[in-house]
Amino acid sequence: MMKLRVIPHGTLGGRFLNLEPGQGMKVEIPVGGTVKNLLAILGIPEKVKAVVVVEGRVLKENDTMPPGSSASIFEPIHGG
Amino acid sequence: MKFLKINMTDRTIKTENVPEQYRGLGGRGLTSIMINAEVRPKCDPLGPENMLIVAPGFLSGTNLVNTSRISIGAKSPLTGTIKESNAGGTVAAALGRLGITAVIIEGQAPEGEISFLKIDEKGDALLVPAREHKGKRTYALVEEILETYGKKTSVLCIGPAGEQRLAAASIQSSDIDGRPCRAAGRGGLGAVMGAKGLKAIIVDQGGKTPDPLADPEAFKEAAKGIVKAIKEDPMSSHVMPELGTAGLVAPVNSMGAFPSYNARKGVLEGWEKISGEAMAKLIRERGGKTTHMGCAQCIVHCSNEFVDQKGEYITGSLEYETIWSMGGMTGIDDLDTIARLDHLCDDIGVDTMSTGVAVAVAMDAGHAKFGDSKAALRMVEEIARGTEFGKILGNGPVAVGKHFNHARVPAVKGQSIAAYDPRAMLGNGVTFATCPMGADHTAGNLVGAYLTRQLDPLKNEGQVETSRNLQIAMAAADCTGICFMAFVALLGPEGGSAFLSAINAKFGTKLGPDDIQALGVRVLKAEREFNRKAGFTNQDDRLPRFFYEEPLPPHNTVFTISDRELDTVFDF
Ligand code: SF4
Repeated sequence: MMKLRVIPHGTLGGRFLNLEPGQGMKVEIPVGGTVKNLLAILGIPEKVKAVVVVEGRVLKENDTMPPGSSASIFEPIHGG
Repeated sequence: MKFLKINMTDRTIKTENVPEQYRGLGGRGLTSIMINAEVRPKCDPLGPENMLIVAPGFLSGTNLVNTSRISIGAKSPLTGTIKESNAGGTVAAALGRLGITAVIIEGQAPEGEISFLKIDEKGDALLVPAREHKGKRTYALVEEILETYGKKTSVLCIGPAGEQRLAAASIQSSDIDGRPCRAAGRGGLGAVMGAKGLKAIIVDQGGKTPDPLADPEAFKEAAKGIVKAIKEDPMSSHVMPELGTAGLVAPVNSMGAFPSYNARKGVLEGWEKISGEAMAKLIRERGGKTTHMGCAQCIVHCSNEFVDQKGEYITGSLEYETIWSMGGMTGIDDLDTIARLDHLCDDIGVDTMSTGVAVAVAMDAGHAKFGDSKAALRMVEEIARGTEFGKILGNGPVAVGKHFNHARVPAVKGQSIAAYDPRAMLGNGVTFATCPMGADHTAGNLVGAYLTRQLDPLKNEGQVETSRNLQIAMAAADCTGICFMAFVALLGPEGGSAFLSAINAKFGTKLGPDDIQALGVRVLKAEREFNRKAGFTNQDDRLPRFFYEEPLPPHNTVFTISDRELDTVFDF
C-alpha cells in the first residue's frame, strides 16, 4: 500500500465529515493504484467525473497515482 | 421587433421596425453587426458619433428559463475596439416582453445635462431630466428610482465613474431584488453612457407584447427539454447553486494558473481562505444566502448574498473573477475586504476586474504593499472622490502602468486579462490575445476543457483550435440571451438539440448546428472588420512581453504560442 494526502474541494468537501475547507486527509491505496482506484476507494461515483490534480497537473483516470503525492480533487466546472 | 432610437442631441425618440439587415439578430450579434455598419470606426468613443446599443438576446422575453442576459455594445473608450459587454439582471426579459429588439442611444446631450430614459409598460419612452441625481452612487440611485417608478422596474445605470467618463466605468444592472449588483463591466461602456448624458435606463417589467413565436407548441416542448438538460447537468444543478462561480478558486489555484500578486505567481498563498467553499461556509454561518436567484427566469441560482458578521448585506453575488482581481491579484486573502471592494465598485460603477488589476499594478509598482486591504479600499474610494489618482485608477490598469512607468501590466488592447494565467493555461492566452474586444474570458474560456481533460493546458497542441471553436460558439450564444451557466448544460446532444429547436420555433426556421456556427463567425467577422477599419492589426493580437519572458511559478513556464499561430485563429 502507499500513502497519499487527498484534499477534497468544493462540492466534494461536503462528502467527508469534519473536514474544514481545504483540509486534507490521509488515504492508502495499493502501490501502482490509478486515479480511478483512488476515486473508488473514496467512494466517489464515476458519473461525478471528479478531477484529480497532482502538482498542478490534471491526471487522467488511468494515470498512476505518484506515491506520497498530495492530490486535490473536485467536480469539473466551466467558466465563462 | 422594434428599435427604440433615442437621440440625445435633440432629445428626439423614434420607434421603428427592425430593418431587414438586422432581422433575426439579438444580443451581441445585433450590437456588433450594427456598430460595424453604422459607427465610424475612428470616431471618439466619448463623442456624439458613437452609438450605445442595448440589446436583449433574441430569446429574451420568451418564457424560456435563464434568458435574461442583456448585451450592451459601443466603440470602447478603454480599448478603442468594438465592444459588447453583457450582464444579467431583469432588464433583458423586460425589454423582450415589450418586443424591443434594441434601444439605440445616439448623439450627445449638451455638457452638464443628465437624464433618465424611462420606458413604460406599453414600450413608450420618455427622457426625464435627472440633474438632482448627478454624482449619485448606484445603490442609492436605484433605491430612489424604485420608490418613484415602482418595484417592478428594471434599471441600467451608471455611477460617479460613468459620469466622470472613466475608461473602466461599468453599467450596472438591477437584479431580481432591485439591487444594482450585476454589471456590464468590461470595456468602459459606463463612460459612453455618461458621455451621452444618460444616468439610467428604467424599464417597466409589465410588458405584454413580446414578439410572437412562430411555433408556440414546438417552443414549449423545446423549453421543457432545456429545463431537463439544465436540471440533469451537475454544474448547473448543484455546483453553481452551492458555490457559484467562486467554485473555480480551488481548481485554478490547484492548477497553478491563478494570476496572483499582479501575475507574479500562479498560486495565491492562503487561497483556501477565499475559495468557494470558504465563502459558502462564512455566508452560511452569518445567515446570508449561498444561493440566490440573481436574474429573471433563472433556475440555476449561481448568485449569492454576502453578509457581514451582523448578517447585514455587503454585496450581491461575489463572483470568481472579482475574488481573483480583488484577492489574487492584490494578495488580499480576506473575503470581507474583497466583498467590500466588490460593493464599492458596483456602487461607484466601475469594473471590478479592471479595477482590481489596476490596484494590483499600483501595488506592483510600489504604491502600496500586496495584501494591504486598507490601501486597496482607500484607492478604490478615490475613484468616487474624483481625485487625480482616482481618475488614473478608474481609467484601468494601463493608465496606472503609464502613471508609474511600470511595464508589468497584464492587459491586451487596453483591457486586463481575467483570472487564468496565459502561461499556465495557454489556450486562455490565445483567447485573451485574439479576442476582438481585448482580453476577455467570456469570449472563449478553456478552463472547462482542461478540467474535463480534453487538452493539456501546458502543451501547445489544440489550444488555437479550441480557442477558435469556443470564440465562435460564444459569439453565437451571446446573441440568444442565454446565461452561460445554463448554456453549459446545453452542450450535450439532447440539450443542444432542444436549444436549436427553441431557436427554430421562435423564428419558424430550420436552422442546423452549422447555421449557429455561421452566426458566430458572422459576428466575429463584423467585430474584426470594425477593428481593422479602426486601425488594429495582427500586431495588436499579442500578449504583453512579460508573459513570453517571465516564467510563472509553480510550473515555471512562459506563453509559447507563436505569433504565426495566433494569426491563424481567425482563419475563416
Ligand atoms: S445562473 Fe447566475 S448568472 Fe445565470 S441567470 Fe442565474 S443568477 Fe443569473
